[in-house]
Amino acid sequence: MSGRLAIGVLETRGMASLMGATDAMLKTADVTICGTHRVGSGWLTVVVAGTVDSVEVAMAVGQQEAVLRGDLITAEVIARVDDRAMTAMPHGGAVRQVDVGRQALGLLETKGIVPLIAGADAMSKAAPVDLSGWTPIGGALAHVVVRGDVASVQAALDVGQAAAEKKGEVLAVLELPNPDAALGPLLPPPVTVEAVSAGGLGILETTGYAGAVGGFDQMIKASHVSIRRLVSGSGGRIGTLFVGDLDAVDAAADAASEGAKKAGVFEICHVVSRPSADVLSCFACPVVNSGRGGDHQAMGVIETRSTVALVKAVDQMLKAASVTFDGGYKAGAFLTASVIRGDVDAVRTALTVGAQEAVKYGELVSTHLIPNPMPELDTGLIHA
Amino acid sequence: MAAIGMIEVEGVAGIVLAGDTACKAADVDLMGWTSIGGFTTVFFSGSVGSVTNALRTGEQAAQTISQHVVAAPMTQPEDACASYVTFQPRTELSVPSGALGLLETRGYGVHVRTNDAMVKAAPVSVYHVLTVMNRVVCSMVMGDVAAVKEALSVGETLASSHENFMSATLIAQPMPDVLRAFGPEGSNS
Repeated sequence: MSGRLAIGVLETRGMASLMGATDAMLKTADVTICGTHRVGSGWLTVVVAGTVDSVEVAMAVGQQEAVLRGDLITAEVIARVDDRAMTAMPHGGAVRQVDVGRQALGLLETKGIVPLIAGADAMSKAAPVDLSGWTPIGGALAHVVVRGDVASVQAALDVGQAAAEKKGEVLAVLELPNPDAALGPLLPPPVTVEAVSAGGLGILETTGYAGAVGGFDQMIKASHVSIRRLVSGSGGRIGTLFVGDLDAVDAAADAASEGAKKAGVFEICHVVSRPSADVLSCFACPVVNSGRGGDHQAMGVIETRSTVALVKAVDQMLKAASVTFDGGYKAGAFLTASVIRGDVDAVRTALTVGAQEAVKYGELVSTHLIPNPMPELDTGLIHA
Repeated sequence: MAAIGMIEVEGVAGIVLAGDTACKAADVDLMGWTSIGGFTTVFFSGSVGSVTNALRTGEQAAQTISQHVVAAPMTQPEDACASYVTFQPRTELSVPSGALGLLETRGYGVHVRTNDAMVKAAPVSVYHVLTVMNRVVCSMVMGDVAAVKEALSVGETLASSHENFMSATLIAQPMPDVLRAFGPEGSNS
């Protein structure tokens, strides 16, 4: 970036808003993307550079476009940017270059993982489009991108939006018949795993880790399904994805919902029958084995909305009973969880003590005891 | 294991200030900090008496600029407690000298504007821009005290016209470990 260049800074809530605005800016005037940054809660920034006139024209158009599909947070034009200020700014780091290609682009943006996957599955079944990837951007917001010819993308988006709205909130849809070739830095990373077929795909969505662990434990005990992976939608949301025969997945979904309600904060559970291969490879790529033992010891989970409360609780738990520390997981939205192991009685005692200690310092979300975890639970969980 | 003190705040500027104040108030070592998306916690260790003193002083400092301040000591912490520290000061790291200015807001876009304005207003450099998620962003600028003071007043004037402004703070003589832990090279353990 040269010191004589002007830059424009556009910050929005939501990717549909940012991508629509950026596409318009790139087409309107001679500007280039020189950085992007995200700060959680769905807030995204793009920085463009060019001559003062170009940036001003581009930003005027970008602002108009941004408010159509989301919230405009900040729009600034800096006429003669000072390089000394910019070298330490995080947006200037590695700008991802995803090949944009020439196909039309459709983007579906939802609040929650279940409506996103339900919409993505409907899209890939409705028209000959490719799912090119998805990205969570915080605040439980996430988007999925499809590519194809203009008519297919349009048809897919209509169907996908309707399917997603049945399962939750759709923030926005965006259709770019001719996406600008320089839009690469805003596209999701391409899907690289190959598809595996399954009769059914179940998605358990919880707020927090405790609910995910409780649901996971119950589903594998109730039915013959295999866990694909736990995905973080951020904003505290965790999606637990499992596959198997449709009947097995249906049974597992009921058990998972009950398990999640007992253990933590349940949001929604949804079964996709005969999921498209694209959906499976995009969202449900096989789990990475945690390498954890499967030592059949009881498991206790405690989740709070304060680090101080959690550390104080864990400290007291380790002192009160013969339990060991097994790691922790942060789900976002202030949620932080820790896992302990030991004999059933020891874990139960420790959880009681921990709960009493945590509430002195912050919000206790939940405690949950799993007396006899199955080995699959150990290998599939993602706390470290 | 030595005693540990923990101070948790909303945002991150509050624990930079609290950690610095605590390390100056008593003979404690900065262990580092962690974030759970908008709430951050600073950890320091020392003798029980030192931690008690440092905790009280640090908590008061944090309360001057932050909401939701929670402080707690652990006199005989279990080993696992140290594993909650995500970013530690790398002691071998050399850090710039000078005063430190902190400008904290929700959202990133406004920092591009204010950092540009601050380096133009006075001889300061942008040391680091901390992003702790849940939208919280804190710019750290350094220079001599007068320069940082002038830059911060320019930055605050610009940023406070936004509803997302959180705080602006000057630390005249930051502890080197504070700069190490919260700087660009803070080790991610």
